[in-house]
Amino acid sequence: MFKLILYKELREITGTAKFAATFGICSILIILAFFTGIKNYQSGIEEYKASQAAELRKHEKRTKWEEINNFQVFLKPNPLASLVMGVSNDTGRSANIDGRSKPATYDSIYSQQPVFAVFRYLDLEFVFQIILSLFAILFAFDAINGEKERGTLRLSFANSVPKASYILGKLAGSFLALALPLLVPILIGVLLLPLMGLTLTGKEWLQLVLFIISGMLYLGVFLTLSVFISGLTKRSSSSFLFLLVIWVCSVLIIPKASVLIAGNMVEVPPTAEISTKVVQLTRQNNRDMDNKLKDFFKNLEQERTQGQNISPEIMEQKQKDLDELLEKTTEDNNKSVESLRNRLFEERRNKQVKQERLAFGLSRISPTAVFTLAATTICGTSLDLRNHFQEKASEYSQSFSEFIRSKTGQNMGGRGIKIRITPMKEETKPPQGIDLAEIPEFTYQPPELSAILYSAVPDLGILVLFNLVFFCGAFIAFLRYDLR
Amino acid sequence: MLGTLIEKELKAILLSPKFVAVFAVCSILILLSIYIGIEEYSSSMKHYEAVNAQVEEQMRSETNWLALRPSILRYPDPMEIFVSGINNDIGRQSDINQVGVIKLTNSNYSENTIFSVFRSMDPTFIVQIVLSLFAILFTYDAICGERESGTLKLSFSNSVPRINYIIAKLIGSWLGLVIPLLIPLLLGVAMVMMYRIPMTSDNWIQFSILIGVSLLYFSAFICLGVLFSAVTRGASNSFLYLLVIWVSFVLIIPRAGVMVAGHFVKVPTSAEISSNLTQKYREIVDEYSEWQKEESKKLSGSYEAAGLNTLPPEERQAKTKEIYDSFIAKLKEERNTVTKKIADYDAFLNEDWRNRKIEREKFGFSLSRFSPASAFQLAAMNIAGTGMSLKNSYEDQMRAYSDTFNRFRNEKEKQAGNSGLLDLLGDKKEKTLDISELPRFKYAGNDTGEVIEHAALDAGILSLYILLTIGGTFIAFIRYDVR
Repeated sequence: MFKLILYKELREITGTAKFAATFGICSILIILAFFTGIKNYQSGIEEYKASQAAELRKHEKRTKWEEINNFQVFLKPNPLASLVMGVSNDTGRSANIDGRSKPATYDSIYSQQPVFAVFRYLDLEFVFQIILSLFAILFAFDAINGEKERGTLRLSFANSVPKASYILGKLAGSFLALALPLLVPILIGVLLLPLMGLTLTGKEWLQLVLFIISGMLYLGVFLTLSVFISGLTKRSSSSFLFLLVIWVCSVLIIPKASVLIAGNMVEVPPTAEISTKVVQLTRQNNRDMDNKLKDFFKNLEQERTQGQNISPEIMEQKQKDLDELLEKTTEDNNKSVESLRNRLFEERRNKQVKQERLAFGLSRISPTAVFTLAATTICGTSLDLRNHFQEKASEYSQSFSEFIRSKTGQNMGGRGIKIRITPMKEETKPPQGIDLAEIPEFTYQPPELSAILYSAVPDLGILVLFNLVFFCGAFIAFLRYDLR
Repeated sequence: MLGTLIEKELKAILLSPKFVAVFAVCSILILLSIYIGIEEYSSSMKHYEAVNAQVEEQMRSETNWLALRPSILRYPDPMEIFVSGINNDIGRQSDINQVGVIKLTNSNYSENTIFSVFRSMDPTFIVQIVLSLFAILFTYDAICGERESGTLKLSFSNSVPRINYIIAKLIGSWLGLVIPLLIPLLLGVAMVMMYRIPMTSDNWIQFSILIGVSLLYFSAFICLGVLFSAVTRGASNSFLYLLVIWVSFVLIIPRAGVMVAGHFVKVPTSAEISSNLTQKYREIVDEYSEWQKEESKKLSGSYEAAGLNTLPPEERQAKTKEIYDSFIAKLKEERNTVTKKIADYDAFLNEDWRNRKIEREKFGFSLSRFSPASAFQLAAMNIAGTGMSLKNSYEDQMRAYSDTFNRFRNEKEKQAGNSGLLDLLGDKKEKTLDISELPRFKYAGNDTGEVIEHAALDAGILSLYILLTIGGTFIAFIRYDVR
């Protein structure tokens, strides 16, 4: 009996003009999302390579490693980020390595190319989140009350059809009718990947499969919810309106309102405020350093005016003392500035984490928010992308600093002050030049699959829970439904 | 007759349960989006004031004019409440340095990325996405629905002129949908006033133009709905066609237009621009360093030639100072030349970069304007001043300010007699600066005339859509089989 109802439901849905139109739209949108995603990734890779080459070009005329006092690294585009963009276009894609401070990221795609920020990109997450959820409602808002209005419900139950089999057949049929045709454009899109020269690693394929599963779970939520509401209302127009209100709340209101509430409850200081405090301390340190230097030169001048004979050997010793003074003061100043900067950024980060937890905790009432969080986590384009890139850039900063120290024998950074009180020695050897290929390479490594799964499982679990709750709701509502 | 028909149409819309739900949803969304806008504006203002106060404090503590390096922030505009445009995507501040290189950094979304996860929801977004969908939901069965329920045949059993009937349908649907929407909008305006948002008279004019363009956009979708209900026989078909058109207009065409332009018009990356600038900068600075080395050698030579060691201490100090001052004057002159060279090269690079960006924007927007949703968004952004010109306009004005500021600073430094270099032998008592005369940055937005000029093209496109759909509806309905 279940099979028969399932077959009837499938035939009923797939034979309608509504199905043909929605299937057409979904296919176009999904294939378009894959196509544009691949194209974007390819141009992203071109830009990434151009930026890397430009960075090396910047240093190619250097003849000494001491002259390289900063180096820029870039976030390599991720193929999955082109399909599920998340915040990848909003986070900075470059980091400046100066060997001292924790690198901050800057130059996001949208800040550099605001033309793309006007209408945003069309990605798979958007198609699932907005279009497919709306279509799920359109397919199932009259699943039960529509049949009642047309009189076919009473007709079906004139035969000995168990209510449980009927509703199970309805739910399974609706889901299959919506999900199976979606898999066709998704498969075409997946085929486009190798055809257009984009090869994914095994891990990336697994991430893509997981994303599709989360998308199907999300569709399931709206489908079961629609059948549930259809089983609670007498008229299809009423269920459609209720569902429309729920859709607007889930897609538009709850996620944005949650972030707004969290933003108001947990205040995060702007980075400009931190930078200003750091600049203030740096300036103070510089003034202190200037005073130390002035004292040094005052003493030297006093010795000179007192008519002391300053031999070249003494001057060499004075030069050494001056170098030491500069080195030590610079190091102390750097330490104090870095300690302040790290403390302030740490405090900011803690507040950010608190704000994010509150916002996402509240937003998880909405299946759309849960799907967004799951999808972006799976594809590596969630908020963690920014933190992870910063961490990796920070690790690289240390190894880069060590590399420069190994080449020059001194730390990177400082105020760049060199004062000579003895005659400059002419360099006997002409500059040898440096081989830029020796610079350690920075390649962003995204988190491991296990870490991604660990972060995504709670949201996937919530999506399953939503499905179960609405499924049970639909089941119970139909068992108590007045068929007349 | 026309009055009766309009009244009937209005009653049919206002008394339907669909209307109550849609009205409630729209009201909540419009009010919520205005509230979110007010909150975001207030927080931007707070950020602006806090950072500005710190920059001021820091400048006041400086003792050397050349050490002044203020940071200029974009001033939050109340119109961002209604149209956020690219406001959250572009940088909010730039440092003013001696070289005059301006770069807006720290965009709201890159700094507070949490807000970009679910993006912002401004009233323009509600009008563009939600209200257009609702316009279709109300009008897709205006004619074919009446035919299916048999009321169309019934109406035409009386002597009702078709032209009157279709005019009444259009006016009735328009009034039934537009007037109730003005209620949450007016409440939103009251909210803006209640929160004491400093809207200027120009802002209110911009807001009124924005409402006008929103109504044009909404009307275009109402007319489109009535047109499709007059060219199809069944309401379900009409709804499906309209849904396909809505998805294409609102979601596909705007994005596709810009993406196509992105692939056809290539623009160098900011890293490439920065690399070119750095290369040139290094070249210029290297030349300067070489020159400075030579001058330093000459300085040592001058000291030796003056026979300082043979002079009595006072005379020696005076002679040393004389030689040193002349050396510093030369250095300063050369440094100004170097700064100008770098600033000129930066301006040249940026101009070329910007021209290519503008070319891409023009191409992308021309393609996307085929959709009324794009035309509406572009018009709204231009009216509110949060469109593509916002970044360029700020950068230009900041660059001009940078020139004024640097001139003022150099003048002050000259008056103070500072070399701008660390005076290791001097014993001058350092005083903090009096920055009350410092020129201040003030952003000049577009005036009303420019706003109207910028929005005219898109408003014209929307009007054309309305005229075409009304014309199409008349023709389709006159030939419609009412049976």
